[in-house]
Amino acid sequence: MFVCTGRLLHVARVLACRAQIKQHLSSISGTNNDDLANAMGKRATWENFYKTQSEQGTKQFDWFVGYEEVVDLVSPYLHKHKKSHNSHVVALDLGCGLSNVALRMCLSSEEPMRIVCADIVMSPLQTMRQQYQSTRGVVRNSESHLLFTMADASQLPFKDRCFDVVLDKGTTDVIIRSSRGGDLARTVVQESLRVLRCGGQLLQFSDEDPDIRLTLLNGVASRSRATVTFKEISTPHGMEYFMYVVQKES
Amino acid sequence: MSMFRTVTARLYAPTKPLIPRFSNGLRKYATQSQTDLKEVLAAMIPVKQEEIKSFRSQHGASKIGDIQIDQLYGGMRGMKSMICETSVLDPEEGIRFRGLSIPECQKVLPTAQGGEEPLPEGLFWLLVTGDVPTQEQADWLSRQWADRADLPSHVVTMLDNFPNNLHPMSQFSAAISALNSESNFAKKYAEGVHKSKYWEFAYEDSMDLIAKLPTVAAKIYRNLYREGSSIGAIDPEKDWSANFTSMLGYEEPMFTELMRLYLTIHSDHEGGNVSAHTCHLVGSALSDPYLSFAAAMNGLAGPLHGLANQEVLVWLTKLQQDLGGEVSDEQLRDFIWNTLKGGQVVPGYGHAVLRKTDPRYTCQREFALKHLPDDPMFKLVSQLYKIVPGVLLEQGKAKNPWPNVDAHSGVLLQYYGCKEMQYYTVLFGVSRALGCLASYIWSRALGLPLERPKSMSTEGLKKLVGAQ
Repeated sequence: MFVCTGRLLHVARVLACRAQIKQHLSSISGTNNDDLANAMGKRATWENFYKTQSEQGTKQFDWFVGYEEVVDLVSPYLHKHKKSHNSHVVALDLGCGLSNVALRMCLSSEEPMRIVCADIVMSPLQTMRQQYQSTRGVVRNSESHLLFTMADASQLPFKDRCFDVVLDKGTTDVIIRSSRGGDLARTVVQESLRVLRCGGQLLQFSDEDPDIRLTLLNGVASRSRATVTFKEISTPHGMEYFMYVVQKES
Repeated sequence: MSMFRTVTARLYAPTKPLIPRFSNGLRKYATQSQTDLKEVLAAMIPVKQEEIKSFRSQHGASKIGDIQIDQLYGGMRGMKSMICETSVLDPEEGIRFRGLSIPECQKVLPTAQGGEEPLPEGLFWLLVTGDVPTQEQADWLSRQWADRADLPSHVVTMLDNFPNNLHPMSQFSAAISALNSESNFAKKYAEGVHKSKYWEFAYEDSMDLIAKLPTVAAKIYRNLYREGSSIGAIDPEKDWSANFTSMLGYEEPMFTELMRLYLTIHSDHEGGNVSAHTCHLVGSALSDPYLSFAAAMNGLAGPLHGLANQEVLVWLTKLQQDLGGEVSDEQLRDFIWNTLKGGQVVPGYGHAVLRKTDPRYTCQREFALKHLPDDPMFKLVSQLYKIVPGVLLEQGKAKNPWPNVDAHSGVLLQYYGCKEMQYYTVLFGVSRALGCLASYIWSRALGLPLERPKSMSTEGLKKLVGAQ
């Protein structure tokens, strides 16, 4: 389903490289770090984070894993959805930030895809929208779109049952660290399940250990007619990540 | 013939009036006035048996999860599959021993006279009974263990005859197995004792084994690193950790305090980890506590389980050499940045389970800040603590960037002169006995059966899901 054109890969690589250099420069100041470490659940932390990224011209920042790992893990689910309803596959990137996963999936997909990129902070959405506008010429399937919207993950502005897949890469990790942590995270999972079509999946990418995350997810799933599974994602650099799958009953 | 005993008069603890208790299911019993752990247990066991019987009759058939094929290939990770009463991991607060977190334990558990760190004896009492012990109860355990610490001569001979290149963990495990000549459990089982009495002999063996472990461990240490010098005599007035450090040959009282802390915090970590699970599994076949715990030590010797604190110290030592002494935060940040960007890990970081720093790390850090704030290795560890989480966050590699317990333990040991990194896992093993054997006693008391999960072949699984 996904074909990476040579030009698209080059564009992505250049953007990533520039982003890394700018990130290193920004590391000299400590304030970003302290907030991330101690106040990760606060909206203000992320507003500052993206303000800094914007000032430094950072165009892409992915937590844990990037497009390469995500696409391999997510494709099988997207395939199944396309086969089952034979129209656009619709996905929600919840808390997209400056991740370019949705952008690259949309541009590379042979089959038509609609992805909504949502975040509670405006700045990264603007950056990603600009990137989309400047690269949409290379989209593989002209019916694929990317949409951008501000949204609060605990109160999604979407109707019930409108997405095949919800992607949550590092978002619940942030929410769980807010002052109402556990409760808010459960609400977010419930909201994701609400906007999923029957047979759809919430795919959470996280560094959180299964012993801890499964407790949270099973708590919600058991009351919402969903089942929870997970996959380990090993990376060449030894960090351990997981993809948690909350499958809504058909 | 037994060795290493000093016989002096035993003191009996006077009975004390009842003091306020924590309210919790298991803490209803009038135990504060009793110092004999066996008697306390004898009263608790029937009540717990009844509780479980009632629970199972109501909910025994309730489903609590699903199993995916990946989990069978994935080491059963996340699969709920066994019982462990002694400790549970709290995602926010870290490990809870019978409901108490480590900071809470540090506040309420008895200490040695003049000391600040909790006595592992107190933790053992807590793990076994679910109650916070009084000073008298912890001291009673100290004297019991001092009393039971002697080794049979054949084990001493065996240890003395091991070659110097035999890994300390191998020596440790072999000696523990060989100690089972002393097993009451094995003897009574062979005599056909009724199974309702198993726990009593499990208790006796566990108390004996815990008492003997420091003696074995110290003998190994002296043989390998102190030219076979004598470990000296057990002092019945000293607590378990104090006798241990004396036998190892350390005089510094702060090292004994460190040992008390170390032996407390490494004692238990739920039931699924390799050492605890192994002891439970092997014990379920009614192998005596010695054989069961020796098996657990074989698991602890595996690089993926017990070697992490050694790996951290090796990396730190190399880092110190590479950096050539104290470096600025900026220089260290650059070094760490490049290490992580280059695809390597910083040992001790990046596999955090909790959403904040593990309390087992924090309490060691607090110990260091109090007693060795200027040690160059500690200052490096402190700097890493300041810098590494930030870099992991900045590179988007982790939202859980905190260090784990192993990132700190070697640093404290080396400060007091215990630099033999290969030996660290033995210390871990001595501590882990407290959790493993507390669970072993209860497994026999509750009559938990032989553990025997169902295995599947790949072909069988394929058939099950209708795959080709």
